[in-house]
Order: sequence, then C-alpha cells, then structure tokens
Amino acid sequence: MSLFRRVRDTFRPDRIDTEIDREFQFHFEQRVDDLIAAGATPEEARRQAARLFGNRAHLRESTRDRDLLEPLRSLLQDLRFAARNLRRSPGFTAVAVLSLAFGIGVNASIFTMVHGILLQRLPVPDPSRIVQVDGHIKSFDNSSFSFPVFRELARQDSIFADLIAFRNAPVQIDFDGRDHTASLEMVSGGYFRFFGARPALGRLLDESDERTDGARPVCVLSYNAWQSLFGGDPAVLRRPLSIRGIALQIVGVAPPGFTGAELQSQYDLFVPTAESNDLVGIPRQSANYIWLRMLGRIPRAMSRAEASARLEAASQAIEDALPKNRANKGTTFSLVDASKGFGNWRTPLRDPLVILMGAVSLVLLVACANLANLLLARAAERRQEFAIKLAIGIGRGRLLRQLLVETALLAACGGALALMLSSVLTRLLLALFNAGEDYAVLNVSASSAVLLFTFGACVATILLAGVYPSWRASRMDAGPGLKGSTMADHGTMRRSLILVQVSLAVVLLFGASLFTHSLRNLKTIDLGYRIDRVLTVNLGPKGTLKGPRVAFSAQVDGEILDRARHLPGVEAAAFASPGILSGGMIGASITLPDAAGGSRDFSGTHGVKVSPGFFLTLRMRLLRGRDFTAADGASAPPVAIVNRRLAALAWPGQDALGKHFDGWGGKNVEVIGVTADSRDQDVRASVEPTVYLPLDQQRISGASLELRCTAPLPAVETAVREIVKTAAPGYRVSRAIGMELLRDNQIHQERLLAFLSSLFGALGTSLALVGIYGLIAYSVRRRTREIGIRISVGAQNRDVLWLFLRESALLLGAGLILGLSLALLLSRFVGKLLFQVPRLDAPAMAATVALLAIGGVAASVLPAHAATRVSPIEALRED
Amino acid sequence: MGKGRPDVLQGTLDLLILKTLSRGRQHGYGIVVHIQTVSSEALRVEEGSLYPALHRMEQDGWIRAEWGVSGNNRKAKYYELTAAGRRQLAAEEKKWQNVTAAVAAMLNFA
Repeated sequence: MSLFRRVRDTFRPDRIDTEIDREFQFHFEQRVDDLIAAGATPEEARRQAARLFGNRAHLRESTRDRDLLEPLRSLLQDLRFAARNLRRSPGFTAVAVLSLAFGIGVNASIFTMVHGILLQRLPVPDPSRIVQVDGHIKSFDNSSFSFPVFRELARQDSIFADLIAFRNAPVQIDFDGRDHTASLEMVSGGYFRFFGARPALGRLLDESDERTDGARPVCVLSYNAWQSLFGGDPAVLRRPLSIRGIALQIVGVAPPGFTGAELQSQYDLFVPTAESNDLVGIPRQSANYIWLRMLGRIPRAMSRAEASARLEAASQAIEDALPKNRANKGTTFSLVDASKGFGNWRTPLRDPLVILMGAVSLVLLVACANLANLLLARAAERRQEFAIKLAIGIGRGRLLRQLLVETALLAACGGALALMLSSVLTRLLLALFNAGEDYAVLNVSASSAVLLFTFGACVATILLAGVYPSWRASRMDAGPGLKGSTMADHGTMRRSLILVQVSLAVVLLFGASLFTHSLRNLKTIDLGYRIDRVLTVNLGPKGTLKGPRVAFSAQVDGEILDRARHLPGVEAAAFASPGILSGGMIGASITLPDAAGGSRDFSGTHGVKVSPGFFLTLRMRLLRGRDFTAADGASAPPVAIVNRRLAALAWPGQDALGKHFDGWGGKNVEVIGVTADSRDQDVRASVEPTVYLPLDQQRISGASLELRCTAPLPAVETAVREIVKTAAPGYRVSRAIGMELLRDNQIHQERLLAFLSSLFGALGTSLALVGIYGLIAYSVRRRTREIGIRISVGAQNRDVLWLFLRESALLLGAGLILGLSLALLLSRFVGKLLFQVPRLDAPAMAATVALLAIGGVAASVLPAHAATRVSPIEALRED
Repeated sequence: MGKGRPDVLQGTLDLLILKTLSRGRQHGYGIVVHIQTVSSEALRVEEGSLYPALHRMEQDGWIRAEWGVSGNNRKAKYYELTAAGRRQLAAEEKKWQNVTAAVAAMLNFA
C-alpha cells in the first residue's frame, strides 16, 4: 500500500469500509454462483453463502482494524524495540542525545533571537502596509519629529490611511506610597486603534484624550504592569497613581501580549501626548521639541515607493504650514518599511545575529556528524544482529524503518532536551543583550516559530545523520555478517566525517579567536588616559519640571570638588562636560587669525569643559604648557588647552603654545597647553581635534565628576552622593558608574560576540573531540587482536600508542588545513565587525591550532592508552 | 465455524495464503477455493480469518492488493506476493518443515 494511500486511509475510514464491502460482495456472489452451479436453488445458495460469511459487520470491523491499526502496531513495535535498544547502550544514547541537545539547543536559542529581532512582523493585518516616517535634513537623518509636524503629516490623508505618534521615556511613578521606575509610552489618540487592540479592562486611549493639552490626565496600564505592579487587581481603575506629583487616572488595561510599535520593547503605561508638558516637560505645541516617532499605514492601493515619493513631494508644503520658529528646518520626509515595527536599532544587530546563526549551524553540523559516526560504529557492531534479522526474513525495508525509528527517537529525545536547554540559554542571551545600557530593552520570547524550527532541526538531523548509516546497514550482505567474524568498519566514511567535524570546529575556533582578539584590541587600546579605578558621577539640576531650574554655579562646583578630593580613598577628582566616555559630544568651529591679518575658519573641533586637575585625574599627558588653575575664572582672560592633533592641524609646523583663536564663546582665547592625543568619547573612533576649556569660563547645565579612587568604587559613590545632598541640594545624581563599565558598555556588541563565539567554538570543538575519541576507541576495540600480536612480538607501549595517534594526528592535521582555508574564506564576512584585526590574523590562527592540537591529542591519547594495556594472551584467545 | 472439517492450524494460515499466492495473483475467494481443492477438502479457510489475515499481511508488506476484473466480469480485489512476501514464505516453509520433522521424529520414537 502506498504511503499516500495509507495516510489518506487513516483519515477516511469510511472509504476503507466501502472497499472492504466491495471485496466481500464479490466473494459472496462468487460463492453463490458456485453453489448454484453445484445444484442449489438461488435462495438456498444465498442462505448458505451468508451463513459461511458469518457476521459480516463484525468481520468488516476486524478487517478494517488490520488496515488501520497494523501500521500503528508495527510502528509501536519499532518504537518499543528502539527504546529497548537505546536503553541497552546507555553510553551511546547519552552521547548521541547530548550532542543533539546541545547542537539543536543553541540553534533554537539563537533562532529565538533572530526570529524575535529580525523576522517577526507586527501582529496587525497586512503588516507590509506599515511604514515609518523618516526625515532628512542636509546630511543627517532623523526619525523623531515635533508634535506640529505630526499634526501636519496626519492631514496628508491621501498618503496615510492612518498615522500615529509615540515616544517612550523612563519615569518614576508613585503608587501605594512606593515609587518605581517605569517605561512610559506617550501616544497619540489613534495609537491603540492602529494596532487593533481591545482593552483587557476598562477602555483604551482615543482621540478624545488628545484634544486639549493637560486636560485629561489619564493613563492605560500594560497588561504586564497590571499584573506585576498591581497584582492583577480587578479594581485597579480606582487606584491612585502619580508621576512627579501629577495624579493620573487609570482608565484601562491593554490586552495581554500587546506589543505596540516596537515588538521587542516593554511598556508599563500609556498616556496621551497631551500630558507631555506636565509629565516629562515637553511642551507639545512647540515646534522646537523633536521627540515623537511616527508609524503610518499606507492605503491598500498604493505602493510604499509611491507613498514615499508623494510625501517627499509634499515636504515643502508641510514645512510651509509649520510655525516659523522651529527646529530641523528644511526637512524632507520619506517612508521606510516598518512591517517589523519602528526602529533602526535592528540594523546593527543584523550582522552579529546572522554570524551567530551561522556559527550555531556549524555546531549543529558537527553534532550531526557525531551522530552519523556513532550510528555507523553502532551499525558495524550490530552487524550480526542485522544479518540474523535479514536471514529470518525481515524485509530490508522493515529493517531500514527500524533503524530510522531508532534515529528518530534519538532526535526526539535530543529535541526535547534541546527545548529545555534553549529556554535557559535564551534567558542568558537576553540578559547579555540587555546588559549594555545603550541597547533597547529586548523582550523576545520563544514562539510557535521556534518550536517549528526545532522540529525542523530534528528532522534535518535525522535526514543528515540517520539515513545513510541506516540505509547502509539495511543493504548489508547477510552471509558474511552471520558468521560474526568480520566487522565492517565504514572506515573511510567515518574518517571523512571526523575530518568534516574537525574542519568545522576549526572554523568556529578561528572565528572565536578573531572576535576575542578584536575584543582584546578594544580593551587594551591606548585611549590616552587611564580608566581603571575611575568613578564617573553624573550631576544635573534637579528635575522640578514646573519650577525654575537651579543653575550650575562655580561656587557649588568648587565646594563639591573640594570635599570630594578630601574623601578617604579618593586620589584626585575633577569635573568634565561632557563626561569622558559618556558618548556626549559638543562640536564647534574656531576662527584662527592668519599672518596676513585676516582669519580662517577651522571647523569640527570637539570641546570638553574641565575643571583644574582634570588631566591629572585621568592621567592625560600634558605635553607643553600648564593646566588650568583656579585663577582661570570667569573674569580672567579666556584660555584653552588643545590636543596634539588640533595643534598639528591648526598650526602646522608651529608651536601652538601662546597662539590665539576665537570660538567656544570666547574672543582671542589663548592656548596655554598642549595635551597628548586621546579618544575622549568613542573607543573605536579616531582621535578628534579637541579643545579643553576651563569650566569656570563656560556655561554648563550638568557635568560628570570624575574620581580616581583607591577605595572600592561603591564606597566612594555613597560618599559622593552624600556630599551632593548636603552641598548642592539643587543637584541630583543621575548616574554613578565605573569608567571601565562605561567602556564595556561601548564595546558591548564585541563582548557579546567574543563570548558567544567562544561558547559555540568550545561546544563545536568538544563535539569534534568526542568524535575523535569515539573513532580511536572503536579502532582500538576492533584491532585488539592485532595489538595482542604486536605486543607479543615485542612492540613497546610507545609503538602501540603511535599506531593510533598517527591516525588522529593525520585527521587533525588535514582538518586544520581544510578548516583554516574555509575559515579564511569566511572571515571576510566578519571583517567589518572586527576592530584592528587583519583577516589573516596570525594570533588567531595560532590560538586555533594550539587549542585543537591540545584537545585532539588528549582525545586520542585517552582511548589509545587503553590499547597499551591489552593483554596479548586474552586478545589472542578472542573469537 | 465449520463443523466436521478441521480448521486451519493456528499459525499456518499465513503459510497457506503465501503458498497459494506464490502461484500467481488471486482474489480472496480464489484462495479459499484453492486451499480447499488442493487439500482435498481437508483444510478449510474461514472467511472470518482470511480477510483480516490478508489485510494484515498487506500492511506488513508481504503482499500487495489491486482491483481487477474476474473471469466472469466482476470487479475483484487481487492479491500478489511481494519480494518480502517471497522471503517470508521461504522462512515459513522452512519453519513448517522443521516442526513437522520434529513431530514426526517424536511419533517415530514413541
């Protein structure tokens, strides 16, 4: 019976019944004919034929059962048989299941990330119609806009069937006398309707909440926040909640799993944009505040390109309708695909994720090769069993099926274990991805797509690893197998598989070495200053949004600095704005007088405003001149210190010391010092031409206090917070963090890649080493007699060891050559993710060779050592 | 249940069916008639055991079935041996011979 028919029949028992009835009917009629021919009357004949048939309905049922249950029964039989077999060899089963579990598990985890970040689309009908509004002004792109821009764009109803605006901000919320940092999503009125959301409780926000600024202080809780902050209280709509003293009425709860505009983000509460002024200090009607992001839905009949072109053409008209006093004048609007939600942050994650997916695919391949190898070895050892089976008439097809069922059972066990493993690993991955502060808080969870992927991986494993060994076993010649003396070894096949494993492990190891080397480069690069033992405390004016802001004053700064310097465990302290490695940047042009009495502009200088003692605190080298002192105050002549790069660019071939320039808020600023070059903000960036200016001669609204400590940083942090509280009640500490941590956050992606690629390299290599171990162990077992003979004719331990080590040395060598060639070919795909690492990286290659050689020798010496302990007498007595 | 006539020995039904089909394809009724005729009415296969057996053997892949037209122009389901079935027949024949030889030896000994 064909497979197709079998499957069809299982689902259509009535069809089988009809066929059986027709078969019976034929039998019956034939019998009647014969009985009549033998002389019976037709009536008699029919009666007798019916009697012979017995209970036809009953017979039909028992016949049908054979059709339906027989395949199931034999499958169950095969399953039971397979389970018994696997239980009987726990070592084999454990190694096979574990390699699969790891191989499939890491794939499921990385796929969870890939699916959640790169593949998943917004859960709305026809997500391809969802677009994101981007703006271009001269040479820079922006995807945030003012509220007036949103209002103008929303009027373009020939381009947008729907348009929403939103902005996320972290806020402190107060409820039940507690306060809690929450993720606040400010949304335009159509937000929930845009995503087709229905409330889990109460109502959601709509246009009526949006009309008048500050008129309706209402909010909607996310389902998560309702559960975690309010314990799912059904009376939550009557509970009080406030943000910075503004009481908000909870009017509803969003549905569970509501994702909003970014699939990977988590929100706690949603408020209308009309509340922005009161809650976060953004005057909504102002065209100077650039804050809102937008998603639109284009009409069904329009392509994205066409909609984008129309919007671009309408840009000027939109601009003309905006207030004259506005930021980002001259913006051209365009539309980009947002079917996967808002955000450009996905783009930089694509390459690392694709590379990691590639790495785990290799791990799975190594695991498959392991399984295939184990199955081949096992088939060789079970040769006699198969021969007997074939001899007593079990079909080759049935034998093949039994073996495949065995592989499938292994894959299923491996897959189940892999799912458990991957849920743990995914949590770890998320923690790693979220550890860098600069990343969006990722919220990715396993979905049905991940289950499907895992199932697919299992099926692929069976196909890759199980089919060939099983097929080979079922095709064996029963004759010689029965005698039991010859063991087929599939030697070439097994060695090729090991070669594949070793090569892939080399690729993984080389990749891991490249990323590790790149990370080390980033960590050891000479920044021009020392970041160890430096604590950065960010200070800003207290956020009393409705009251007047407390200005940063020189006296208060001076007092904080003075008291901080005298703290026990603090070596030196200074202010810097923007803080070093904070990621902030202020740029300006300076004007230089030239010899002819005229002047020229020098654009693109970076400015850092610092207090005296800054260079000492950070161990930045002052090459020429002097540091700022307390005398360089607001009323003193303006001075500056420049770095060597700026000195060389602005005054090539001359001494910069004593030169003057205009700019940075000063006229005729004198250069009083030159520092060595440093990378003040981005560890990856090149050295920027930089001007250091005395804090007291500059206006700032916040600064970082940099402290070089001898005491543990948390202790100093506590002391500094205390100083700020007493000396500067108008200031608040927005963040205190070690400078090494700041640096680590900047190289977060590299750390992630180095860590994960090392993990996968280790996993792939371990699997390959298990393969080598298995091959040698098997080879030792098979050649026991030969070893016995060799030892009895005087072979030394060393000779016996070498017999097997030579085999693995050859495989390792060939695998290294093959793997390195492949790795070098592949390395160009990772090139742009590496920092100052050449593609033909010698240290990475050396590390790969060394790691593999050590592991490979260990994996082969262990089983080969067993060979040296073969007793010649027992070995010769065997068989 | 047929009375007076010995029913087919437990376990030999498969052998009889396979042997019958080794002569060529046949429908269920034909198998009954053939076994009855060749054994000179000594062996009789019940419809009640024949059809479940045929369908089981089909699922085991020993025989395959096909609809055809009988001598008197009726549609009938014909069965024929597969390669696996042929191997199975050889194995069963051998088993049968071993058993009968053993039984004969027992009888002779006594």
